[in-house]
Amino acid sequence: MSDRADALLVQDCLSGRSEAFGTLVDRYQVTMFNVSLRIVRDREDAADVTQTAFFKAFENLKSFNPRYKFFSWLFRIVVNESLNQLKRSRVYAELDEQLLSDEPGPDEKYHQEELQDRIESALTDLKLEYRVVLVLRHFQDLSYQDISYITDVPEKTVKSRLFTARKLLREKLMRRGVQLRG
Amino acid sequence: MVEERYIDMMQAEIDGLLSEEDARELRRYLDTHGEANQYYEELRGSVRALSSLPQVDPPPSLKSDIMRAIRRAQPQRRSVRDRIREIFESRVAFNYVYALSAGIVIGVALYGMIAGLDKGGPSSSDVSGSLVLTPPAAAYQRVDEQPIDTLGITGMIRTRSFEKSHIAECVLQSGEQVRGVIEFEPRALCLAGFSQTEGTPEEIGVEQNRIVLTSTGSNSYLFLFESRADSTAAQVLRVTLTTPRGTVQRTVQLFRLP
Repeated sequence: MSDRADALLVQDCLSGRSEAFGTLVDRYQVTMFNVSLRIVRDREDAADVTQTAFFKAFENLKSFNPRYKFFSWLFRIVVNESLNQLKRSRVYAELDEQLLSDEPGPDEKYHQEELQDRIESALTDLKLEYRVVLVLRHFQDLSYQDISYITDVPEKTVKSRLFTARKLLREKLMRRGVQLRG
Repeated sequence: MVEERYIDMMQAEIDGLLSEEDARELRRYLDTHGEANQYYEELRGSVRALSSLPQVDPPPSLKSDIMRAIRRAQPQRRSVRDRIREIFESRVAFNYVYALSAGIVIGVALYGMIAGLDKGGPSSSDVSGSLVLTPPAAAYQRVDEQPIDTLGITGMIRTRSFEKSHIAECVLQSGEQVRGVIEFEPRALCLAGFSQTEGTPEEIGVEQNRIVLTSTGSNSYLFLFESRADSTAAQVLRVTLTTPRGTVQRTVQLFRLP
């Protein structure tokens, strides 16, 4: 996925070939859906967010600054939409309640799915600002610079949030009995 | 106890940002401090755990949903945009919109009085608030926008705001009759005016805290709200659309979230 190819597709869309946008959707729908899913933790909400984000991206293509990468711009919209979705649905309290029941018993057997649940639950237990940087850094392998643009905070803040987020994640994973060594 | 300085170096190392010299120093420290080495392994393990989460496939219809929403909203959107531009291009046109809105409000009020609409139907008696001179359209910042593509309805609801003034646009297209109810918190907002900007005029009325309309075919509406001073109540619109197939609800923000 080259930035140049994205820029050409954006140019095509702006010239009236809206079907070129379909190619951009093909390229990024899975990534954007997964990023949103890790933030909102609900498949339907994540699908709604992804649809709305692409829709908004199309509507605002004229305001897209080609100085930035298209996918970073799209990430920014998806992250904002995901956060808005969370605020709208007011799920914080519900998620917290859910988490209490996710705590594993000491003798519980691990299955792959259970392990994933615990990791997901530890991630969700983090404050949103930490969850977002972890998702962008470790699911999407984005640079500090990209994350800074997407979250609209200075790189220095990205770095400090990421450092704190990893420390907290380690604690939460260990509390859930996830084996981290070896 | 692991020194904070070395924890930061571990973090930088995980991100591939540690210089060779610092990396050597960290390695020496880890070789001689078992507790630090364990911490480092756990930190790396946390990152590995995250990366182990599988990618989830989106719904198969996601792309087609996106493209359909774009195709269907595009011509209507252009039309509404053009219409709004026209409305706000000059003060004369702007005044015309307010005159039109006021006319509709008065018309509804008179109709309500004559036909006894207040027995159960919408009444305009609670439409109040000063119609202040709104700034140019360019001053309004887009706040929220929600496409609608369900129950045979396509369209969108979009809001823009400037300080305490808000514009809500509602575009609806449906082959069936849609009953729309737009509710707002009267302690927070005051309806300053409304207008049907596109389509065939159909029933539209206002109660204390809600606007009720019916729409068939393609219609666009423009609603003007003002925030009440010092209100802390929710500045949102709750939109409920009902067709013979069911009901859909949307909550649209009128202020920019921090």
